[in-house]
Amino acid sequence: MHRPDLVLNLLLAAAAALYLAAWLLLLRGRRRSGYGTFAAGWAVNLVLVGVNAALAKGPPLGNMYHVQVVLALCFGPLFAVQAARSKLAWTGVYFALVSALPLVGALFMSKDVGWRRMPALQSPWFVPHVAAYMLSYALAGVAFGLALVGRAKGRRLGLEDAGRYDRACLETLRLAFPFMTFGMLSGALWAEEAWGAYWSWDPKETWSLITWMLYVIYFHCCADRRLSRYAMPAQVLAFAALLTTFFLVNLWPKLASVLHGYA
Amino acid sequence: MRLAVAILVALVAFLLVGAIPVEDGAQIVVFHTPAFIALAAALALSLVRCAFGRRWRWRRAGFPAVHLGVVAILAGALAGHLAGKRGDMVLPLTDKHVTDRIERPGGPPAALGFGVSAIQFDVAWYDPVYGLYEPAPDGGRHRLTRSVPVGPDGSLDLGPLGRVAGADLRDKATGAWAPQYRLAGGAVLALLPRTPRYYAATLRFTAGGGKSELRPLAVNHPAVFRGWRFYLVDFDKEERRYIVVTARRDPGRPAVIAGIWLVIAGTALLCFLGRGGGDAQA
Repeated sequence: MHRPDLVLNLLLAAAAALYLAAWLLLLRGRRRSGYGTFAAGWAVNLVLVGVNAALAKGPPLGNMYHVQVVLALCFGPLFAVQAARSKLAWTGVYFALVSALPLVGALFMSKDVGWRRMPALQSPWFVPHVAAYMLSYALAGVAFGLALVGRAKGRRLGLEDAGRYDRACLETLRLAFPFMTFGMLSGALWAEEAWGAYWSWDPKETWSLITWMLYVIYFHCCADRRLSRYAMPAQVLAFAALLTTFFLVNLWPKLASVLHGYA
Repeated sequence: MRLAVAILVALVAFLLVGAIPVEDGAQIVVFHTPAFIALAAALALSLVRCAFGRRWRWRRAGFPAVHLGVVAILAGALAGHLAGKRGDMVLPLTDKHVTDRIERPGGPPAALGFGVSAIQFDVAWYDPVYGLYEPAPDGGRHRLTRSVPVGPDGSLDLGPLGRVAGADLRDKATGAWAPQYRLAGGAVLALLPRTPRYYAATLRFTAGGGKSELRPLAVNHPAVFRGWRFYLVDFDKEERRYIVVTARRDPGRPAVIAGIWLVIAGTALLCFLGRGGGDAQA
């Protein structure tokens, strides 16, 4: 194996292992060691992002492998904000688990660092646009996990537990949605500067709009008691659209996006 | 609230249809149908009704900001669609060739009312990158296994396969990089299409009376002249004889940009400062 790839895979495995260990510790109620291990995993993750940036000689956001690593890094700070803002420290166990998942996926992705930023990507919008989307997708993933666990626990333990998880899910998505909005609309402003068109109905753009609108529908359903029973289905569809935007559009040739081909 | 949700659901259905992949792309034609435009208009009316439907205090300014921001975006987009002009120009890199019209897809050329020429062009390239194509284990076609950039010393580091010196890859007389290089063991290095690191031009605009003005033009930095915006989108990579420019005149642009920032700010206010779903009660 090519030496940089070996180093990268070792760092990936170490960070993923620490995140998973943190998840197990927090699951068993060992908060001190759990959060300590979470922080250690995050530190290794940060080193990995630094190594990727050094190898790419620029922002490490040029391919799916880079994006997965940055995505994993987002969860730690987001949990800290969520815990402080909405008193949801008990959700740390879920943030630890979802931190590991992108890194496990990244182990099997090409580490090719021969990517060069073409002139259209050399814009001040590049990092804010991609970073905002990473933050929002990270939080949306956590929210979806909370919703699923809430449903499962609600069946076993009662409605109160499900309600607690639903509230956590809503608060997490309220944190995510402004980033998602900024990510989408900053892309429109950037596209106008680069190509003279805010919106080209490119598959990536269309699916990101579908995702955004489904979350808008979710929030409206949460706000109206008569529509509240549709909130969970709306969120499931929104998350499915998010996965389509994030993965399928890149990986399925027929959905391949011409304008976002470098993503 | 239920009407708004119904409109949003219908719009999502349209978007899903438009996202279906077909032979020559997605079915984006659905986004230009009267039904879709009517639905967008219904959404705009619903948003206005929601925004002005009740009195809002300043600390809840996020709600009307988001709703009116979307209306501004839709209104600006409609104005641009109805009254805007957009087209492409191929400008030879010489000040002797002056163009005064743009080519529009599916329509007649549109006059600019002034002349445009490209008088200067600069391009810088990234170092070359070679693709390493290795024979398939089953003896099938070679597969691209890795991209290998040329190093600072001009050589290629192929890891376990060793190193290829720059002198072996370049033509001694011209210095040009070899399009292909065969390695021992059957692997092949193939020069990948070069990526420009930067390119920019200078446009000369000539109006009546012989007066001319110069404007710099680069990717992500459009040139502006008399309400028209010019975007550098491509250039002749083989012989550098011309550049490709998109020209656009969009009366709805200020409304769209204002709407975008209203939605961004309003969403942040609504979600970061608001209190759960109660802020959006019908």
